Amino acid sequence: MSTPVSTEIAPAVGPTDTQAGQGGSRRLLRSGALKVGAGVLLLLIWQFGVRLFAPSYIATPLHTVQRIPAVFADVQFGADVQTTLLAILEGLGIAVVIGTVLGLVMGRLPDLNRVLGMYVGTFYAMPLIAVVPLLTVWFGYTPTARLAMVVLEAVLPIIYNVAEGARLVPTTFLDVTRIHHAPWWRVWLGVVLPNALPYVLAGLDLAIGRALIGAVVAEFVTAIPGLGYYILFNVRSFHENEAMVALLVLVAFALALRALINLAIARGLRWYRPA
Amino acid sequence: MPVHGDTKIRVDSLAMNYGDRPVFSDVSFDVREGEVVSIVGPSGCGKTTLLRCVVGLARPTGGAVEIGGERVVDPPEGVAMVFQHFGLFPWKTVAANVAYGLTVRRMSKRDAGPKIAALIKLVGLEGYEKSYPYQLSGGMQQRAGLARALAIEPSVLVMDEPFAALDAQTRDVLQLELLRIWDTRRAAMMFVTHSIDEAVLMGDRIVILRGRPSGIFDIVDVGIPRPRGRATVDTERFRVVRDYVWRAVMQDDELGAPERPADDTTSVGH
Amino acid sequence: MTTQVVKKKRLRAWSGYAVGLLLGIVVWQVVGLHMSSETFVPLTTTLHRLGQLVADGTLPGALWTSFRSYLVGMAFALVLGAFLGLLLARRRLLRTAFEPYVVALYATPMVGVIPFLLALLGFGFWSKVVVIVVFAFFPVLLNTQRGAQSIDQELLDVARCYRSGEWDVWRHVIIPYTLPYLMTGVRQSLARGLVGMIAADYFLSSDGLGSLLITASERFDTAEMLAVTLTITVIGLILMAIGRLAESYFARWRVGG
Repeated sequence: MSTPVSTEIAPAVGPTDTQAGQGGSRRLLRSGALKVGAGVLLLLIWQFGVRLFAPSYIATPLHTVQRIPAVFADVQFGADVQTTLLAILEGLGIAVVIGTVLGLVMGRLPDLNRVLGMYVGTFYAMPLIAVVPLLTVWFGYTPTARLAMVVLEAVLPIIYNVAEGARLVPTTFLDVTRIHHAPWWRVWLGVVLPNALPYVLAGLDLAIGRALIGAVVAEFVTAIPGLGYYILFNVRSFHENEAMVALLVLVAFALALRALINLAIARGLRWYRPA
Repeated sequence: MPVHGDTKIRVDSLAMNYGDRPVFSDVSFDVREGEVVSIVGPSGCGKTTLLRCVVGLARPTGGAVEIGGERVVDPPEGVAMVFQHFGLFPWKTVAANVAYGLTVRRMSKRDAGPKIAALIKLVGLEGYEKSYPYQLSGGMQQRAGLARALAIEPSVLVMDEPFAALDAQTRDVLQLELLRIWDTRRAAMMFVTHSIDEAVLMGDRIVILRGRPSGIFDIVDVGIPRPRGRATVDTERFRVVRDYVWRAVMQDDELGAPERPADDTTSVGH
Repeated sequence: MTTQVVKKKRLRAWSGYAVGLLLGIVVWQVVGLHMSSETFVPLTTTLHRLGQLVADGTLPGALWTSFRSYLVGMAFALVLGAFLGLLLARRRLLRTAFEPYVVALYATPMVGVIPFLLALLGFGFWSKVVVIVVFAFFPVLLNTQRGAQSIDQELLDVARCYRSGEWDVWRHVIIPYTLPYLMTGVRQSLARGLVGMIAADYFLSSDGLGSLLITASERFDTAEMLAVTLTITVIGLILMAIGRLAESYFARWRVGG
């Protein structure tokens, strides 16, 4: 398939190096200006749309920004951030362990895959947050319920991806282990697991978004302290700008985690070349 | 006067079915110590499957294989394999890959170190010990694959179209490299290839497969003395053998039965 | 492969699924019998309760309430998402300007936005619809955009060559090409829309499926919770199956599906 080379800068017939360089950086500046411009436009629409059409307690960008120092100084806020973020990290950690083990086993044992796979697929197809009320019955309105929800949400994409990775170990690698009479644990730890590592990280990437949803919904329903409940509480008490700050922190956390994963992939998995 | 030793690999009436369909049947030949046997045949004749049966990676439907007098069921000790797509673990360095066989055999790093270093030098990868496979070209990866095979000091070396995934020039270079390296440690070698030139260049004898299902059409003595080199392909004998094998594989019988080159009983080693 | 070997493989596969299903049923039943009825109830009890809920109209009512908003929300999400996706794909200026914000919004947990929407729009049908749109709209947008953006320039040149007007290009090239991508987006958004539906039920409704679950949990009525959850699961499975079918149907002409 041929992709036509589209250039916005003049082709290399004639222009000097500096000219071509300027063309490139000029393009970057233009795209940056566009992005900033668009952002400003959106913020303006938000600000004036709310001011003109909505009640005064609705969040606006200006007030949100104004409230940031107060929110960050709030002890309760700090505690809530910590609780929720730690819960998410803990849940993700548990999910990675369980998900990787289950995924590896399911990937290499086709019979087990058929027996268990249908349940993984079923839980994947349903809105898992429907399980939150059930979790509150089992665990009460406690942080455990939130943790359980996070683990449930996060474990599914990990199992799915790791199973795929474990299933797809190239035959050649397994041939090598057989020729050299590698014991079973060497095959699993030395070949199947490293081969599945890119898939673990891909699953983790998906799991982060789901984990966040699980944590927030759990906090909404159980009203336990945390960022989700902070948002709910503050919106209900007409402190929407404070709540908006909390929401932004959540988003920042999600983006940071995913950036971390991508960094791990870029650094740690430099050797990865998909077959 | 046979220059090669006792029979190392004996293949006896080997047959393989894929479901109901026979892939090859009644394949019998042997490989003696210090000998290279090339296996060549048209696409789909089951050369690779045959090779996998010989090393115990696959179970044949009929017949048996013996290596060193012992029946082959699973990959036996002392057998090493070089793969078409190299089979290097991408998450290990070159040195770690080369050392894999020794690592599995629990050799200490202290003992393995000098061996690995020597092998890496032998295959011409000095300086790349800490590189990862993704940083190497195909030819370099296959050199590493070869070093890994040699690390366990195998008595049987098996090659599955080792140069098929490489470009023509790299292939030429590595063929000569392999000849040079093999000369220093003559394990019994089975060399599967679809390149007839390669089969003649590498082998002392050539097993020609053809038919549907495949069977052995003939086993030819190459009869070219070692050491071989670039000049080998220009010799008369090379041409004669190659033409015969080519016509045999391509089933080019319309010009009458291809004239079989005489078994060269005067083949000398050194 | 022989029919013999194929038959054996298929038998093994199907018996695997059968065993799995049987196992699930047995485990559900056994665990339910050994636990207090507040913690877990057996499958039989669940199904019995399901029957009751259907008979007395609770479940059908809740289904209707929830899915009314779901269907309307999904319709809006689809149209809006497809339109904006195509727009961003074909107008580079807009794309450069707005893409980072689209990506940032996609990464936002939309559940967190629900309280704000509640405050803004109050209870009721349309606020639920908005929630569902907000959940379901992004996969459609992103997939449509990706599809429309990846059209080989050659194909467009061919169309122009034959003197096709703008509308013809859209009708014969852009839309058919983008349709499979759109379907992938639809499949994903069907799932996200369901999440939005339940989340909206938790907050913005007193008689949807989600609210049934909440009230049942407050009564420790596990049988009802399981029955409703089972219903939601089955619906989820059906929707996913539809989504996958639509996706593969429209991707027929694609090399490699």
